[in-house]
Amino acid sequence: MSNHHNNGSRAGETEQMAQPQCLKVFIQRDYSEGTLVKFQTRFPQELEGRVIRKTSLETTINRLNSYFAEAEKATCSTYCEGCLACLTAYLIYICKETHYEKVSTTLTNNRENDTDWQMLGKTSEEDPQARGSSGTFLERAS
Amino acid sequence: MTVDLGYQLVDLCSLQSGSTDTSVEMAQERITRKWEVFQGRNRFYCNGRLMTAPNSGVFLLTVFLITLTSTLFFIFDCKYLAENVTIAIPIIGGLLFLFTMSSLLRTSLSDPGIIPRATTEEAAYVEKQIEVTNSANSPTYRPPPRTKEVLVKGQTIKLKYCFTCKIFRPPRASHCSLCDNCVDRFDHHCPWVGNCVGRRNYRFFYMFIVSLAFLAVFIFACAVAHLILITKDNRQFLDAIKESPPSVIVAIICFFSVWSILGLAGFHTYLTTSNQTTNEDIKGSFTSKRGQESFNPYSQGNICLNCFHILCGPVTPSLIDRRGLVTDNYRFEISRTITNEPTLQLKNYGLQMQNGPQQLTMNASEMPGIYRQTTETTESNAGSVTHLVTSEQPLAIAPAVQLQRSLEDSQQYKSQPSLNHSPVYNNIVTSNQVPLGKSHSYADNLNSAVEKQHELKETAVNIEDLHLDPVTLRENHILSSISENTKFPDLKLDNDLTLQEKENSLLSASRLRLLQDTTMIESALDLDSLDDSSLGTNSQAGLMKVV
Repeated sequence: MSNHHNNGSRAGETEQMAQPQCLKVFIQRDYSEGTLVKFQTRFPQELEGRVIRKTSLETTINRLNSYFAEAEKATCSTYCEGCLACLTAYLIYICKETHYEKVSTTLTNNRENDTDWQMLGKTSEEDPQARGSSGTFLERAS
Repeated sequence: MTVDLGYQLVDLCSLQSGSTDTSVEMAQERITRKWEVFQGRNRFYCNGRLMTAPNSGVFLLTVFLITLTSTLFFIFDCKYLAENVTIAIPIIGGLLFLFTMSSLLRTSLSDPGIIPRATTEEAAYVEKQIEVTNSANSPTYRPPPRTKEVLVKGQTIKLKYCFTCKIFRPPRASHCSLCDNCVDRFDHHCPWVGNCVGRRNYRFFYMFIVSLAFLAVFIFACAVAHLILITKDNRQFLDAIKESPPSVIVAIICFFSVWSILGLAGFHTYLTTSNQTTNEDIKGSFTSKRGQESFNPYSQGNICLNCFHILCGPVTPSLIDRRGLVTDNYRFEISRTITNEPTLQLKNYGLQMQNGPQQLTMNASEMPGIYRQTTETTESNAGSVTHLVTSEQPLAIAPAVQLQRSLEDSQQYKSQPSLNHSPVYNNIVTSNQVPLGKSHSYADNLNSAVEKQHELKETAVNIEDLHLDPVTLRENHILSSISENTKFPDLKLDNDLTLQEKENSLLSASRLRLLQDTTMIESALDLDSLDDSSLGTNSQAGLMKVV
């Protein structure tokens, strides 16, 4: 029964997929260190034997993780920022962007110049941050 | 067909907004933003800049009460006190009022930390990952596990699968049934502020509660001081009341509201210092069960760090890109998910629902062949190792009961369009089987309702009420009610529990009642994800689940 459904879903997908030659792999979140944004570096089975190398995927994800770690790091300056916002009744958020937003902007900017990233075939439309539970990686079958 | 429907929906939404928004009309091509096709029940204002939960009536009441009381205070008491005592009083009052209103508006008009729903592709991917192999001639179909266990700093945390959002909810996240979204670090849905309270707006909510407590105490003190100062000039207290009736009104409003506000402020201070959410505290997620040590893996270590981290830590940006443009790709990704979900009105969560499970459980207890009972309902949450599914046990087949399903009835609901097509989750497909198991589509629910009607006919039970009710049923409710009401000798609900666990369940139930008395929280919590273990055997809790 499960096979039947599986086939059904697959068939439906390929029919309606805009780019049927694309394989999408969703990198799952790694919760081992709490609820910080962190992605698993385990190499997904689907990508075995494809263009993407294990190491390059790992480096990219690690770099991504380090960006998020930087953004969510609880330092004195972020605490001061939070306190200041609180003292101004959070009105400061209207005119000033937070530390997190700054880091994520640099992340977006860097990504456009990142060769590893482009090799992964990640389109700029897809943002790992845009997904709460997982990140997306695309691979174009070649 | 499904895609077409999706586009129609989108077009309808965008047409409405296009007529109201001039800036959009300026552009040559009409722009659709993502909030217009948002799948939850939230409402958006100012072209997606502000968002709030659906029914905001109580929120307006809150705003009205605070503004009314403060205005009366500023006009009557403040004037007198500024002239006779000190000018500092109106200044402090004004600052407190501004702070309170600012935090209130920020709490209710910002994104609480909504986790976007999975796209069709992601849902399919996840489904493929968790699939279990079923032998071909097995009599029962085994659905994939709907829970996943992860280690968070050495503590086992169970992630539940969200059937609406099609994701495994991240730790601490929960689905808000009122807004129909998964919310990260879900605290509760607060009707008073008209929004969920979650990761992104908890600090605003906390500051609102605390500043409101200060404001209420301050205004109360000032109003009383005003009355006393009037009586000082050798006059009777009644004269003072006659001279300044608004002070009496203000004092009465503050007197009655201050207790619940102070209680709530204290409760949330405790939660903040221990880095818990209301949801986790009520479920008792981090209390030790069955002798297993359990601790809060999210705690920063000590009280000060917890407070700092929650109230001043980094703010995560909103995951739902409300003002982002809807591209064709995006539209395609969400189009199928839109049509998968029947748009149920909020009313359906009301009283009607209570009848459903009760009717069903009568039915269930009379036909034990259908429902496979498990003792797993008594398993504790954190203590389990790798049991697959507790509340979503496979229950699909009823070989004993031959259902005589008449043709007209079976076609009764066929007019519902595109509901049975869901390729991903429709893992219980039946022609003449009875799925009490999780029905993932509207049509499944309806069809099972039809089948159940027939069973009920056989057992000569009044079927009138059941006609529409099962649409809103949740599996958890049904099963928990079943386990409460059936008298199976092998179930041993009470005997399996240790003394400590019983205490825990009593404690959680009493906390729940306390909260229910002081606040409106009972309508707010994510009740369907309450632990079976901590609350399942308590009849009060059973009722709460159904509500």
